[in-house]
Amino acid sequence: MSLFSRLSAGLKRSRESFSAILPKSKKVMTEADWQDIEDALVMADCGAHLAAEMVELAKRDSRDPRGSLARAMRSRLRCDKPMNVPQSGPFVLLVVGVNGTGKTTTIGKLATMYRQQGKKVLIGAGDTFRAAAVEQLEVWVNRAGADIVKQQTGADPASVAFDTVQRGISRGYDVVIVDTAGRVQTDKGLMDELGKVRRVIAKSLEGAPHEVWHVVDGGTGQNALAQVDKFRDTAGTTGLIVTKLDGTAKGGILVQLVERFMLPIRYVGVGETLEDLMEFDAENFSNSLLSMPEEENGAL
Amino acid sequence: MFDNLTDSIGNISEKIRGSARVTEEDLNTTLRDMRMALLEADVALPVVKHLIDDIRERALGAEVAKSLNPGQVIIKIVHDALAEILGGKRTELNTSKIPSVIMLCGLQGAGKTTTAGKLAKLLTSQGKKVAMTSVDATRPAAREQLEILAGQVDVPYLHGEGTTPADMAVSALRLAQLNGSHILILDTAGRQVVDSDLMDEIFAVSVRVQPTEQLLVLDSMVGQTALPIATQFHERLQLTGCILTKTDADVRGGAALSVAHATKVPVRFVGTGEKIEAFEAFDPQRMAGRILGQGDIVGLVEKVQAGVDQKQAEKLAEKVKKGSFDLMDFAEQIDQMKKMGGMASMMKMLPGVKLPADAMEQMDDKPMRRMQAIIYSMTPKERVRPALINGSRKKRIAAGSGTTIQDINKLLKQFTQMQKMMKKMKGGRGKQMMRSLAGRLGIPGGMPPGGMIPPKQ
Repeated sequence: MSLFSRLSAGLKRSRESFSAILPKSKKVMTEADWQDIEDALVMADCGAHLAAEMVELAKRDSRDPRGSLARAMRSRLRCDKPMNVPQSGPFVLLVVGVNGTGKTTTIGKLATMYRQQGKKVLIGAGDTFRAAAVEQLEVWVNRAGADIVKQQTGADPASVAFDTVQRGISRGYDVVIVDTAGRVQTDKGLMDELGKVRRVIAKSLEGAPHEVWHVVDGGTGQNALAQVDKFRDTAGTTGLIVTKLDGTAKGGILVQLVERFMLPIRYVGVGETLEDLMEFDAENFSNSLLSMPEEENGAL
Repeated sequence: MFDNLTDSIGNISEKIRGSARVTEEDLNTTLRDMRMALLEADVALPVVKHLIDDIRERALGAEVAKSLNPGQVIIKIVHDALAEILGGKRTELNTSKIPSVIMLCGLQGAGKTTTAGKLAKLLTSQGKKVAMTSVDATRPAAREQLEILAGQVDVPYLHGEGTTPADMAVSALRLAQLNGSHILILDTAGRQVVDSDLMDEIFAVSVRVQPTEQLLVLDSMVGQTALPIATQFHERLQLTGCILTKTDADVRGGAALSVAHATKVPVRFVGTGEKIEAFEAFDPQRMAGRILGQGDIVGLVEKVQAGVDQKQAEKLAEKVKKGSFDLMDFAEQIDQMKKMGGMASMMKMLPGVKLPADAMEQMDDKPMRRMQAIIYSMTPKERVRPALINGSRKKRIAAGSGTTIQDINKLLKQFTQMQKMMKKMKGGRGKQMMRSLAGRLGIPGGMPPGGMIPPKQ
């Protein structure tokens, strides 16, 4: 299965809503049609304001509504920032996000991906809070064939991070991934703790963490904006990973996130197996979200 | 939860509240603003449309323009429409069978397992004998997680035997019967997608153990998909209720409206934080009031009552009568305030109090904690007879509590004021006194006695 078709399959549900509305033939769009498109964008979590804005843009080119809409979306998803990979020493990656977005699973997938590239991977079990979080991570790490640094439940996550980076340096690992406990962005105490994790990593290796990836659940609504904003302030987010896009979620929130924060989407999770992590492609995403499959009934 | 929606709808109603005349144009503007506010709060679009149409219809039917205070009429209409969608009255969990099975279902990452632990804690505190089991064989370490949580809240975890989730559930139910549990909380597997495999699996469990409650656990941060998720679970399982998690993330509460509308089942509880106690019953009508910025007095009184130990309160009333209220009692009062969730959470429930978010953040309980530190740095004698505290004692207390002499002076002055206030009060008014105490404590030296709870309007 090609990556594109996998994303398409994952986003099939998203397309269903648009397929009913976006005309295949280039017929004249009525005001009601445009309203329907706007509604579909809203229901894909693009946000009420952004949906209205994109429809306004698309209206200017009413001969090709689907094309102009896709272009409007694509231009908002454009954010090319090269990954900050160090010349020497381990590539240190910090993974953050709110509870239940899929951080641990994503780390399992990342570890698998780097292992497949022949890299030596070390994972720091920084979620010392949630019951059995370390056990869950260990299962993934073993499946991926990576190594793990862990402490007991309730340990200081900054200390786990420090140990992980230190071992990463001394044992010559290529990639070091530090997991963190999920936390809601409004919890000041836990956000401060995250800030400390970041500072400790920065002290243990110059230039680290090289990348800080914020894992966002693809089904999140407008609250994602507040999440990304606060996590960026505290952890210095450099990129986003959007998970569960194979779900019922349509992931329209992505468009707002990239446009507002100018953060690149590094990967998207489109399934539950270890291989279901793929690089984000704005063109594929907007095409998949908006494209009309053949003979498909657009049941909402 | 709902603070943002509250703000924006509050602004909208502010605009219209005092209007002596409401034209159709005004109504349209209000409804347009409201549509935007609801969408920004992640209320699902079909629900928004329904709600707006409903409000428009009621507003036209009520002949708003002719009434004496059209603005108020519209606000009432909005309140009723919201309350109706949220599902009217608060309902208790059905635990009539022994054992009653409460089944939790939902998507991955919604917080089912954590919620199971919180629910167990709550039900245990209500005197129920609770057991837990998980039939999640999919997620790594899911069952271990629930087992650990069970240990934390001190309820038995029952290992169901079997090869399928349904068999495991039946086996766990049998164990629950054997050990005389009133309630078995059953945690099920989640998926990323609402797929038919998952539904079949949960459905099979449901048929075999016949839960008295089937609750959907839903992440309150979820966007428009709240509607399809709830609909699909409901169609297959006939849900009896919903639990919203992570509502402390400053969510705007749209999911609550979407789910309630789609399933017509009530939101039963909300998860409000990391701690296992951070779990509250949900009252639709009061929530509708809060959305409109009308406060939640009932909730506040409940919080106060839950936080106040009855025996302690009586003891305290006695002390006040005798005039022997000392600094140690004062420290205990501070503890009780903390139990009630601190100042900020209580202020939010007051009607007409609209504070900007950052002001709320600043209103932490530091001053209260500092007062406690000071009191704990005193000798028992000093606590009973504050008059003893002279200059050198003050220096010692300041050093011990990490405060300054000024802080101590301030505390002593407040305490003296409070004693005076108490002398004025005659006995038998324990509860009322507690409330004014709360007011005293919260905003040191600022709020008049009795200021915490305004009179009912």
